This record gives sequence, C-alpha cells and structure tokens, in this order.
Amino acid sequence: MAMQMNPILAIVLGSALAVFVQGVYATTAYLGRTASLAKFEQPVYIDILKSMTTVTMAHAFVAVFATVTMCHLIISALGHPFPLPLLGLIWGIALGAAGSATGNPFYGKERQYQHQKFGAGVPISASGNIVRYAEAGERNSLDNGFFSAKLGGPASGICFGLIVFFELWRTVIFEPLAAGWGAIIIGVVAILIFAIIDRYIEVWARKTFGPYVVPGATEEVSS
Amino acid sequence: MSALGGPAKTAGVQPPTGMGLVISIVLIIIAFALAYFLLQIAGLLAVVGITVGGILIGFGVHFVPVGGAPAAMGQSPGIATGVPMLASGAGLAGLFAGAWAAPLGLPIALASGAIGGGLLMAITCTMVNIIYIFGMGIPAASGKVDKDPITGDTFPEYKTQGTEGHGLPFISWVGGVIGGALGGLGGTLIYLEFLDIYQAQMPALLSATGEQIAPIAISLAGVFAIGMFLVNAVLVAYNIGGTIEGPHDPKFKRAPRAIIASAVASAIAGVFAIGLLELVGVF
Amino acid sequence: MTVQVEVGVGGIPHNKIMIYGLVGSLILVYLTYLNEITGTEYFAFFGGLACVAALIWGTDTIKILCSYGLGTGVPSAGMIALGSGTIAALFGATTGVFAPIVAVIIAAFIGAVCGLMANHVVRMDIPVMVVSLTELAVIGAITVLGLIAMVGGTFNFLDLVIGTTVILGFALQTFEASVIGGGIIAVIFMLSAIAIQHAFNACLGPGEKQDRTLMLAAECGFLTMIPVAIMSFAFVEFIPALISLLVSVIGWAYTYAKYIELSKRDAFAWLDAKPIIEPKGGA
Repeated sequence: MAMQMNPILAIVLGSALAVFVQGVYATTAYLGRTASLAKFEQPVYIDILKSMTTVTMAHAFVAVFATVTMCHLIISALGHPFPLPLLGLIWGIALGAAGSATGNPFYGKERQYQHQKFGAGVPISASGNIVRYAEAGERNSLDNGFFSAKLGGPASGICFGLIVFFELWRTVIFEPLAAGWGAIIIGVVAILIFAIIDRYIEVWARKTFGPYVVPGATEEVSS
Repeated sequence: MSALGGPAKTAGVQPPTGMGLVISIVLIIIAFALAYFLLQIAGLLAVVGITVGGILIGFGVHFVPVGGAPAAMGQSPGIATGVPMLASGAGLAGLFAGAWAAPLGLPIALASGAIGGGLLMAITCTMVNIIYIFGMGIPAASGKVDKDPITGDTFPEYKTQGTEGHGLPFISWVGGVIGGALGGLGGTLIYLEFLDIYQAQMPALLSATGEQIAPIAISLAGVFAIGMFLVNAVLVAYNIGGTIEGPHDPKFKRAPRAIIASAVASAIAGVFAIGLLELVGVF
Repeated sequence: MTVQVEVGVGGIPHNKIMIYGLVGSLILVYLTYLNEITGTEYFAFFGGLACVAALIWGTDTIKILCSYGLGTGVPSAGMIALGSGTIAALFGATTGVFAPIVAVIIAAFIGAVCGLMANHVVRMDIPVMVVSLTELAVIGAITVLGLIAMVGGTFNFLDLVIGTTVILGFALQTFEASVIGGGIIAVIFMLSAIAIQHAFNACLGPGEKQDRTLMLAAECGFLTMIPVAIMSFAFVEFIPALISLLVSVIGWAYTYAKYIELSKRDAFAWLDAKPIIEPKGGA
C-alpha cells in the first residue's frame, strides 16, 4: 500500500525474494557441512549443487506463494486483525511444524531404507545403512521428489490444508452462534472426531498387522 | 554428546539448586513490584497473567510427543520434528484463533486459542499415524511403558526389535492435543495481556483513537507473544533434553523445574514489554 | 545430528571477537543517528552493518555454547536469543538517542535471567551457559535494533509508528503503514533468528574452521540485509534505500565468493561432474 503496488504483484515479488534467500541458505549449508567433514573423505559434489538448488527453489516458491496468498485472503476477505507479515510468520511456522511432522517419517524410513523389510521400524544397528543406488544408478536428492509425491508430499499438504480449513470454517460459520461459544463447541467436536479416527486406525493396524512376537513367547514371528 | 565436560550425567531427576530457587523467588518479586510501580494494579494483574501464560506454555510443551530425527526413521515414538518448532507451531495456531476472537471477550478468546492449538495437534497427530500405518506398515508402540495407560494396549510384542518404539500410541496422541491446547491457551493469554495494556495506554500517548492505534498494539503484542513463546519453548527443550514421548514418559517428572524457569523468564520479559510505553517521550 | 560437536582449536580468541563485536556494532548503530542530525536518511545502511558485526560475534558465542553438548539442536539458541532480544530492542527504542545502550543493558539482564534459569533451575549445569545466553540476548537486541534502523531510517519509537500512505493522491500519515504497525518486526525477527544460528549449524563438523564459519556469518548478515533493504523502499526515500540495497548486494556477493573459496580450500575433494558425451552415431 505504501508503495502503490498491486497486492498480487507484491506477493509474487516477495515470494521470489524469499526463494532467493532460501536458495542461498541451501547452498551455504551444503558446502559448509561437507567441507567440515573432510576428515571422512567426503567430496563436495558441485553438480548436485547446480542441479538441486533451482529445483528446491521452485518447490519453495510454490509453497511460499500459496501460503502468503492464503494469509492475504484471510486478512482482506475474512478480516483477521493481524498484519500480513505477522500472519505469514504464524502460518509459516505452523506449516513447517505440521508439514514436516507428516512428511519426515515417509522420506526418512521408506526412501532412505527402502531395502529394509516393509512393515517394521529401522533397528538402531542398521542406522547408517541407507539406500545408495536408486532407480537409475546412484541415488541423489532429486529422486526424492518423484518418490515423496506418492504419499509423503500430498499427506503433508492435506494435513496443513485440514488445519487451515477447520480453523477458518469453525470460526466463520459457527462464531455467530451461541454468543461466540459455537466455534469452541464445534472445535471440541472436531477434536473428538479426530480422536475416534485415530483410535480406529490404531486398532485396525494392531489387528491387521499382528504382533511381531507372540505375546509372552520368545521366538519372533515374521509379520 | 558432551565434548567439553558438560553436565555430569547422574541418575534420577536433579532438582533446582538452592541458589536457583532463591534467585527465582527474588526475581518474581522484583518483577511484580516493578509492574505495580509502573502501572499500579493493571500492571500487576498483567504480569500475573503473563506469568500464568508462561507456566501454561512451559507445562504444556511437556505433553507434546517429540521424537526428533530417530522418529523419522521409525526408531523412536513421537513426532519427527524438534521441540521449539513443533510447540511454536501449535501455540501460534492457537494465537491466530485467539487473536481473531479477541473482540468477543477474554473467556471466549482463551477458549478459542486453546481449541486452535489442540486442533492443529489433533490433525497433525492423526496424519502422522496415517503415514506410519498406511505408508510404512508400522503399528504404534511405546518404548517407555508396557501398557498404554488409557487404552490398555500392550506394547512389547508390537515393538520392532532393535528400536525404541515407533508411531504415536494413543496416550501420546492425547498428550499432543493437551500440549497444543495448553500452549495455545498460554500464548493467547500473554497476547491478550499485552494487548490490553497497549490499548489502554497508547491512545493518550499518541493522541489518536482506539481504532487508529490498533495496528500498532496488535503488531507489538503479537511479536512479543511469539518471542516469549519461543523463549519458553527453548527452556523446556533444554529441560527434556530434546525428545520426550508424552505424559507417560519418566522425563515428564522433570516438569516442575521448567515451570519455575518459565514463570521467572516470562515475568521478567513481560515486565519490560509492558513497561515499554512508560518511557516514550521521556527522553 | 550424529556428528560429534568439537571445539575448533586456534583462531581468534572469543573475548577479542566479543569486544570487537560489541563495540563495533554499537558504533555502527549510532552512526544511523547521523540521519537525525543531518535530517536525511542516507545513513540507514549502517544499521545493517551493525547487524553483520553482531552476527559475527554471535556465531562465535553459539559455537562455544553448543560445543558443551546441549542435548537439543543449534537453532534453539538462535530462537532464545531473538525472543529475549526483541523485547529489549523495542524497549530501548522508546528511549530515543540512548536506544542502543539501554537495549544492551536490558537484553543483558533478560539474557542473564534466562541463563540462570537454564543452569540452576533446569540444571543444564554448563559452565558458560549464563555468559553465553547473556551475550546472545545482547546480540539479538543489537541485530533487531540495527535492522529496524535500516528499514525505518531511525531507531526512535515515535518515528517508527508513523508511516505514510498515498490514498487518492493525498499523502496520509497512518499508523497502519508504519514499521511497527505493518508488522515488519516479525520479518526482522525471523530473518535474524535464522541468520544467527545458520553459520555455526552449517559449518558443524570435525573440520570446522573459525575463519570459514565467521565468513559465513558475515554472508548471512549481508543476505539478511538484502530483503530488509528492499522493504525499506516503503519507508525511506528512494535514493537512501537504493544505497542500502547496493551496499547489501555488494557485501553479500563478496562474502559469498570468499566463503566458496574457503570451502574449496577445506573440502576433501571438489567434484564437478561433466555431462556424459553421447558417442557419435548413437549408443
């Protein structure tokens, strides 16, 4: 507003700037850690730097642009009192927490330990034994995009989307009811519904997958 | 990981030192006295509110099941993120909801904040379990207890050999939601206390109406609330040593230490935040 | 984080860096006061240079603190630094010309309280904890104050809450379009929090060398200055903002190039794979 710029153009330029900063941080982090591990004779692969950085920046641009646009709409269309940078900070941190919580295990276990048997955690003794050869030769981080797109990525997006949706939906629709308490009651109901869903799938998993060991016996039964 | 002679690892929970307790009590009294001196009863009530908010955050973060990097590999139960970021995510979503409901009065705003934080954690914990169960085929199992205190599920036979457990057992899920709710509640309380003080003082100071100074009051209150949230979350992270499984974890017994630390840090920081406007125009 | 944290030997002693950092950044922040004296805004970029000096000091402090084995990650140190420093910085901003000094004193107090809580109540029992958290809070406060001065041209609170917007051709003074009212503090908060902890976190490892880490700290500082300079176009005149932007970009390009050079020096091997040449006539 102070600079007389169209809000959408401002969001695009702002996202581009943020993605530039993110790309630089990514390159310095990669160079720094690998150079500090010279004792273990780890080389610095410059072709990884050249090929990965732009892809990461592109993914980040989509994420940042979508989040900032969402915050802008929350302020201008739904009337939230916070200024845009503050709201961006809040939803950015929430996105990081929720998205990382959902996506991390999928990449960490399924992709990195793809040769471990499906259906069990990774024992601590096998910790360093990650997959080094992937679909077409040596694995590098660029392959993770197509792998995570199968479950981890969309699940993180759905998690964050559900959070934002339920927050906004319960407030906008139900706050006028019951002198403001309507939104609170619906929120409690939503939490209880998620508790039931969670309990259901937990019990389903125990019944369908079965135990690793027969309770009380000492030999292992493969599941 | 103590390369330079860090804390001596003794068994059991070490209580705060005598000097620590004395300093804590002295600092809280100083904070309350300073608040009363600067802003009389309004200031004292505000600092009490901020201290209570800090305690709620400090206590609430202990409920959240944080697994760290091993959880991402299916080696330990909990959510695969770090303590400050996960706690902040929940608390800030609560702050978002609470700030939106602020015009409706204190009880509704606080309840909104609590529900906001609790809802984020409920959805996140459910999605984490979905990933573990449907994406990786791993049922939930805790490594610290043999039976779930709430549902009675037994864990030893569902735990992969060689790991500390994996996934989110129901007690951890409930712990996560409670932690998010308490964090959202505490964060919203701190924000509302700041907002009240600033909205009472600023119109006279800047010779403007209440609505006009609202952006400044909201911005300042919001940034300070986030800052205090992070300070409390980091102190709790120091307390639990990075990972915790939830309320059933033996590490949970360390909570009283963090409550005292949070109370003091919040009170001192809070006093400076509300005394901010007293000095405008003095120099 | 499975890499053992060890203190790099050699290099400039920490106390020397601390004195240069503290005195240097304070002088640089005060240089922005030339804006008030000369009535222009050309000296705003000194605030950003103060931020760079403070970050170099802060990286060394975090290195010393984290080599004792905190049990939690490095980013938490940056969060607690900024959380306590922001309150002190804005408190200091209300005192006009004494802002940097007051901010340093208040930040030292809040940081010491957090350190005492962490050591004596939460029982981290790390020898340098109190001193380190005090230093970190001071660094956080100076960083925030310097960047605020760069964005707004001044570190005076009363000038930071007024901004101009142009509606229908008329320039209006509003609170909403100001540095504080527009929530710019939130952006500065997060940029600084990431910058403080990135340099050490990225250079962690047995082969960590102080000159490379500090060069990365300077690069993070200049990188932080770039978005802040772009934001300042909305609050200061065009030419001063352009000067800020040029200083930031040139400083960043220089430190980034030097950092890559130092990484090349320290790395085990620097492998640049060539594209596979297709044999003539098809494979």
